[in-house]
Amino acid sequence: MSILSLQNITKHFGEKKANDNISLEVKEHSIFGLLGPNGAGKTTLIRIITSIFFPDSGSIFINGEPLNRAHHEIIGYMPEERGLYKKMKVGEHLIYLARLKNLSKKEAKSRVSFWLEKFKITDWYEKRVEELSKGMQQKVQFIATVINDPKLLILDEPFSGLDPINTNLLKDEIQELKNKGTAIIFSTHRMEQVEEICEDIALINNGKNILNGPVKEIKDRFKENIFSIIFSGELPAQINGQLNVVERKFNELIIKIESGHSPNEALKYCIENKIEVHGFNEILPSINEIFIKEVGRSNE
Amino acid sequence: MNKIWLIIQREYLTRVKKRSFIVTTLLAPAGFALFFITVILLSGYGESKKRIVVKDASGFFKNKFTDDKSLYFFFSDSSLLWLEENYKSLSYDGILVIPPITDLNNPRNIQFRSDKQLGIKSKDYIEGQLAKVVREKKMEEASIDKETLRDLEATKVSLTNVVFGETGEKAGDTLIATILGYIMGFVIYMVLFVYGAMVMKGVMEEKTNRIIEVMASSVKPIQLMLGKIIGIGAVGLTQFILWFILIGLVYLLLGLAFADKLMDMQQLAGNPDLARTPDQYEIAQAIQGWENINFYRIIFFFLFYFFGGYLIYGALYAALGSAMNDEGDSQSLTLIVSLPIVVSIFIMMSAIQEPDSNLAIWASIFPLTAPIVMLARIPFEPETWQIALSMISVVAGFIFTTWFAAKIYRTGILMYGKKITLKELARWVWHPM
Repeated sequence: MSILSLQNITKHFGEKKANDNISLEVKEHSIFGLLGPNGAGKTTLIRIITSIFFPDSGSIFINGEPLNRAHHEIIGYMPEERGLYKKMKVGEHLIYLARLKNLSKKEAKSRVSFWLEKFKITDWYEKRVEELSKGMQQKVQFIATVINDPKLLILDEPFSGLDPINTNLLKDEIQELKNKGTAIIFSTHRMEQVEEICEDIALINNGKNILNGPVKEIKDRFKENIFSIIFSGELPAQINGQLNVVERKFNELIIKIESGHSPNEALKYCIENKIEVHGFNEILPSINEIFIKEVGRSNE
Repeated sequence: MNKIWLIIQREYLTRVKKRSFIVTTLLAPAGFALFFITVILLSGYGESKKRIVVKDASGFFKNKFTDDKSLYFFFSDSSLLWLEENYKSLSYDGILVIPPITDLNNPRNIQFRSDKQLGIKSKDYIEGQLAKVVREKKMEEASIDKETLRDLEATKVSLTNVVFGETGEKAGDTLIATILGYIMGFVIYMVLFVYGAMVMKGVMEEKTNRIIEVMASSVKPIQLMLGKIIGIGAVGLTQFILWFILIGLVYLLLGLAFADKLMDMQQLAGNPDLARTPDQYEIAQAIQGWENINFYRIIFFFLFYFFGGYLIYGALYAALGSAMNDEGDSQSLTLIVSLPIVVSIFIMMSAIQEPDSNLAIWASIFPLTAPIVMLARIPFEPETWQIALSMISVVAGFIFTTWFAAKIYRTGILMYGKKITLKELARWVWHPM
């Protein structure tokens, strides 16, 4: 079942169409990648989901109900432009933000302690936000986002500015939240992260949803029947006439299987010609390649 | 509602805990104490005593001078030369040299000789003494006795303004009403500027440090705006209450310390007829007028226009803050909000001179000028319909400006990096995001 469903969302700013008839579904217990170049309309779409903006037309459903203010309590949002009140102490700041999400004072306090302990930063409780580094502030921000145990978590570039150790720490937390049942929308233009953690994606360009679906399906859709053969020994001299070799490296052949042919034919040729095969893999396009290709195509 | 309350608490507590709040709250009573002590000391307490030897050539003034608390006169027949050489060793501070008076209408060449400057107050006093003796001589020549002159001089007419109405007659006092009007008008003027700027700065800070988007996903922009305005307003009110209490305490303590001085004034206030001079009579009457003022009424209206005015302008300043990206930005926009405040203060000055002029009446009804102008008119007791209309207009003004400002605010807080024009602001009102 979808936790979030957007249907034909359109939003104008003056003459500019920031979102143009966007529809998408975010499944429960999944990580959804919202991709797109800068200025594509991702942040506007997120602001519509978090009720900061209202769409000109279209509908938003949370768990099948039209979006309303009460849903704020099950949504957690970490914007890309992050900020905290610099003069406030970490502990009181987190409690304040938790209480704005309708947690009682007692509940807020206990959850703040839980998360500070989990991240092993209990000694930050009395520190002022301005005393923390940018990365440290980002951790505080992450805690503020998940403190109300949201069912839908929206993270806009969550790893920007983090060192590798803290990036991994946050990735683990995101996975853990997903395993516990949180659906996560992950907005980014870092494609390697998308492949690593997202199950579904939507690609937005110029306000339009130009591509969406499960990562695996999309990769399949864009594959070009390119295969890699790892071998040892000599290759027959006439190989180019038999296989469509795209690239030849020291012990690897990159081949393209033309339509109407099967990879088995290539494998059969190798065996018959005594080529010692150590590996035979299909090369799927990376999300990055699909991204560049599709954005380029839609801009034409 | 609960969320607004949380925002109010945060806005309030972070500000009253600031060192700058504590310092400014304590500075005002300290300033008052300093002013009070200075006034009392200037009125004679700290003056050094002076002994003056008088060389009166003709003997015309001999023993006719009256000593003051700080000036003592001693007549001497010794020669001027001898006095100049010895006045210091005889502990005199100077020599008053009076040549024979030839023309009573124009006594000339009277000198005070000393190695020190004579203070202005002492100079006035000596001139007064000389004039007194000359005058008495002239009266004698004109056959006017002292009693007749005192009678003539005491002819002072003071107009008592009796305000009559449903509650019966009472003595109104234009001077007191003017003073009160000015003070209250200026206080509101300061409140609007100081706390309005605080609201604007607060909104701008939230916008520039990018917390606004986190907040906007949890609370409605109008909750955020109202929470900030009310929170900062409460800070202002706290400061005023603390000033009231602290200045009251300072007054009480200084009053005890300078009890004798104040006692005289109070006795006089109880019965102005005891006054020995016309000036004293006027002061005593003023103090009596002060006591006739209905302070509950004044405090009620002060609080009403304090909040009304603050809320109207607070909302406008919040809208401005949301549209700005940094402090240098949009000076012209700030001017649009500040202008009615400045205009109010000018209208107020004229309204105090003529409390029932058309300008005063309509400016005290128009919501942007009413907080300052009507409050300044309150001590002059304007007609009930005017007060009622003014109050309704301020409440309506507050509702309208909050609605209007909230529209700009909700769009402005998320607009970065763009210089905002008036046209754009208008577009936000009619087409919010």
